[in-house]
Amino acid sequence: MRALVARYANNPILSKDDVPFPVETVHNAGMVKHDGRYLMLFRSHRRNGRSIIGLAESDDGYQFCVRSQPFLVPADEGVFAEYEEYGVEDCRVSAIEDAYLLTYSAYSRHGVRIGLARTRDFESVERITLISQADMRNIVIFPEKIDGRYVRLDRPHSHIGPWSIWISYSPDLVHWGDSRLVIKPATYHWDEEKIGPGATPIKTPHGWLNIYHGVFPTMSGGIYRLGVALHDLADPATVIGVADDWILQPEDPWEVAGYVGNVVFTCGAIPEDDGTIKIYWGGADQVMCVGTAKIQELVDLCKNRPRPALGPG
Amino acid sequence: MVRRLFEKRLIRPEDLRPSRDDWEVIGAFNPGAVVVGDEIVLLVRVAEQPSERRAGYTGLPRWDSELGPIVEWVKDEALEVIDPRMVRRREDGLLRLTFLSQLRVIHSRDGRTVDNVEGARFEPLASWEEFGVEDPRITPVGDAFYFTYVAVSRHGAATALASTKDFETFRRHGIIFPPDNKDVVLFPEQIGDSYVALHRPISAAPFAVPEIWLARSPDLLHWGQHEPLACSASTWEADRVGAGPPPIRTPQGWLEIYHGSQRSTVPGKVGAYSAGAMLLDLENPARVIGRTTGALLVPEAQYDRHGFVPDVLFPTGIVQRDDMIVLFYGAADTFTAVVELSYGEILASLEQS
Repeated sequence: MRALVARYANNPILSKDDVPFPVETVHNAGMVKHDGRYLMLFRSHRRNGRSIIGLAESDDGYQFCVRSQPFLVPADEGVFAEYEEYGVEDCRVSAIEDAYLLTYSAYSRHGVRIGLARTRDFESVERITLISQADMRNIVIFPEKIDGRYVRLDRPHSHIGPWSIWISYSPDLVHWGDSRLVIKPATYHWDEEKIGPGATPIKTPHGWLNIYHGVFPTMSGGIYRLGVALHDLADPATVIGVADDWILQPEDPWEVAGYVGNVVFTCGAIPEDDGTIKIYWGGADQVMCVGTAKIQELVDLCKNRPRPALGPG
Repeated sequence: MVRRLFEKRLIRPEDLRPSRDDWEVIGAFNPGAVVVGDEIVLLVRVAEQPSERRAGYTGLPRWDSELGPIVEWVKDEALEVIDPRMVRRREDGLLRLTFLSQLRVIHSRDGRTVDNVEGARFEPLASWEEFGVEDPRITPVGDAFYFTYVAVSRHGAATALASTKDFETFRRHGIIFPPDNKDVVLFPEQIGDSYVALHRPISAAPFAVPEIWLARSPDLLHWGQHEPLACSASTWEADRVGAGPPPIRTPQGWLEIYHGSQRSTVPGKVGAYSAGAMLLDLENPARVIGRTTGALLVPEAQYDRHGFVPDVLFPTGIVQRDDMIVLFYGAADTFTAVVELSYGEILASLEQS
């Protein structure tokens, strides 16, 4: 049967050999279209095992050219320096109100939390604030305000239950609250160990399309796959459906083996005018890959073959 | 250490009636406290469990949104005992509490005696409270009393906010700190243009140490500008630290009594909980200007040392009376106790930082 996500024939599309500064990996890239060009904000491990964010550009979404300098490296002064000491990771981009908001994981001795930065031109970047406590990873901000508030999907860490996708709201991007759980891992399911937001939500006529990652534990470590969920346009805390099936799993050699094996992990996808979507993912935490899907088919999967969003009791 | 100028156990579990005839109260502890008119109102965490014992089974209580308090009987071999408070389901690794907590209003005229234990109840309601509501901290804001509380469910231990004007009816404001986050206290006044809270996120990162954080809010509902305030600094507080009662304003700074726990060396046993104190800058409470090096109070009363979880002194309520600090605390996760301290002695025990 035809796969929902058609892998690009020339994957991987970006690897460390394409980067003009010394890195060991290229993965987990936030994606956005700016002035008609595709921008990829990728994460790279330096040889000390800590990460930075680089920027690659493309006219067609497949062939990327990396800028000569990293885009975002740990701050060297002020409050951000304290929280980015161990690196910056997994950047997401949200185009909102004539600017681009970047959310990224900031690692330090205090744990991991999320930094918020803003750029208009991808030349200069302004750090705004840290928008979570420790531990929190994988925050995506919706590309428009809903009922006057900014909205995000986030993923708090708990010792009691499996890590799940929550939603929070903010009047000003700095203060966040009204937090609610929206999707939980399902027991003995491909996402049973933990889930987290992936790509910045995509607006469709049927709802917000949320491409997320889920992890299944095995005797040889976790397997990271991608799934889809659909959220109500007016009230994204309402989940219309979470697809029971995954849409992508590690299969290609560079997804099965690498810096961390058996991982496909997305931080961004770009919808096209023809009803398709380019989904970008990191393969085995080492290379960047791309595939295309039909948005309507992903929406249908959420609506027609759903599993309970909050799982059985 | 400071002298206990007055000390007393105020409430025992047997002083309270269970919610169901076939349940028993096993704890009445970790009380919020606030002055209302000419009395002190305590909001006490009341923990209950089924009184029935079934050989080979453990009864796990839960608040069902339709049925109210229910018990799920689970075979012992399906559970792994973590400590007296918690078991882990072997099947899926999920944690469950062995008891269910609610909050009850208890009136005291002077903080040394209890006058009425039959006040209003704040029971679990939302799905994120199904394993109980715990450890309230009360702060007057405007013409209402706001209290934070821990909402425990299969989704984790989050902190939620509620308010009341009369301690008869309550209004819920939802989750303000997502899981896992406990020990949230609100400052009693706005600083600059912000409300300020201390909170205690639990990092899963193996390199992170337990820390008290500070956050700010324009409206009590949306929180940001998070920053770490203080981490554990001594062996008596090596396992974890967290805010105790809400901070109180003193001429020297914000006085925050906090708790710390020792690392347990015995599997299945919880390390001893003691109290310390810190002083925060009045203008910028993210600045610690003084802190006790040793513990201020350790569990040493007989009721601190023996109970559901032995050796726990967990302060959650504070009242200022002249130059005295009246501290209400949970003893051994079982009792509500009070201790009166001299503010001068506390101040003298702080080391400037």
